[in-house]
Amino acid sequence: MQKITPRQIVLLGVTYVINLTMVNIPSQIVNRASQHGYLSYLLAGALVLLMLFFLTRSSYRFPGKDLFQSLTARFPFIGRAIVLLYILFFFMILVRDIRIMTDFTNVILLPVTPILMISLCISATVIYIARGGARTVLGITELYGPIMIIVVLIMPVIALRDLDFNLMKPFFYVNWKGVTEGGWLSVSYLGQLLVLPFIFSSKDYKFKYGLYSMLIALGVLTILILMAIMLLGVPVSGRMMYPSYELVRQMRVTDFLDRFDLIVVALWYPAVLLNIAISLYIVCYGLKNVIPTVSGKMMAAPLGLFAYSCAFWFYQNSIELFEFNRQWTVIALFFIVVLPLLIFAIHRPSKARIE
Amino acid sequence: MIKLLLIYIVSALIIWLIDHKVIRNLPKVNRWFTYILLVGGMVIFTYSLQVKHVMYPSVWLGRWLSPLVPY
Repeated sequence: MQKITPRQIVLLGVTYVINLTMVNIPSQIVNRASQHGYLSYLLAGALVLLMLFFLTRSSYRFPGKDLFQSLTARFPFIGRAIVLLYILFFFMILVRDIRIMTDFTNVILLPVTPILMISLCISATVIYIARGGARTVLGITELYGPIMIIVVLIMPVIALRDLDFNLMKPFFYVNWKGVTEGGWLSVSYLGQLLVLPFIFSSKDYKFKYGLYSMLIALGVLTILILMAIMLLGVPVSGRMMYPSYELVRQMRVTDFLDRFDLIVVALWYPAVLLNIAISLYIVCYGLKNVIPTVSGKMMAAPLGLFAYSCAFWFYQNSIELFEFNRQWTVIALFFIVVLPLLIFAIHRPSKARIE
Repeated sequence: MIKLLLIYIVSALIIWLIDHKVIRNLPKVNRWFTYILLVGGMVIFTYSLQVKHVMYPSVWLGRWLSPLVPY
């Protein structure tokens, strides 16, 4: 594989966190934390960073190897079991993301097109990206990662005159219970950042890259949720399915570009496909590490089609998809908190190797 | 319903047609994984679209995990 640069790692982390988080949970967070929804992100981000630190420390103990490789090499049985559990976790994220995007496209962009065809088109594109391997994934990340960050940074400038700062009031009253509930919802999404030490070797990946990824992702998500609150208000954005999209729809660049949303969606959609492709790539890569004779590249298509089927089976409808966020965190915390702590505790080089 | 199933079958066939020459030259486990995933996906696809009372994992898991959600 080509040399991996810190920029690619940071952008991959940001891309993997922000693109679907900005669609799927802002309304639920605003519903609970009201005008202080951004605090929920910060709370969840702090926990994820702590766990990322533990995983990175574990990764450093095996120079030149990523966690998938070192776990399977150090503990042939338990290590493989842990990797298999993480494969299952990322597979569930893959399935959830395919379904989120299918529902979004069906509700917002293509209401007449059959949902099965939308999902098939998404899955086919994702399979083609993932089949290209790390080189393709990182290449597209370098293209679309900065674009999405720049677009989000430009948005407050465009909407500045429409922002109503009074909608942030009462500013000094923080509903901490609501903020914690919002943090509960967002931790499973921000926790996806923990993938970095699993796919990048300790030679390329440093903790500071994960930290930069998280800070940029938190910045982007905070800007979006603050804008949604100051443009739409807490009651409206809390009741919308996709407040971030509505936020973009409200923007007009003077008189010559009144459909700014089309440009943003055109830039954001490939980034989301990339996001889903990263999940598929991780599943294939993990599988290759558990069973070395399996070709990760050749598994992308069957796994992608399998995920396509599961996307319709796992979730009853799009409302259920949103509702399941509450319970999904229970599962996600096992992978974001329990397993990283376990890995940190047990994953050390054997004594014979140290000597 | 058969039409819907055809979407999956045609997709699986395309994958098989594109990949089978490469997979034949790889270790056997690749062939088995491919077939298991394609057939397993078809079973799930058929079940989720054609059976009247589908057991959705998110609904089922949601019921089980609800007591563990702190609010």
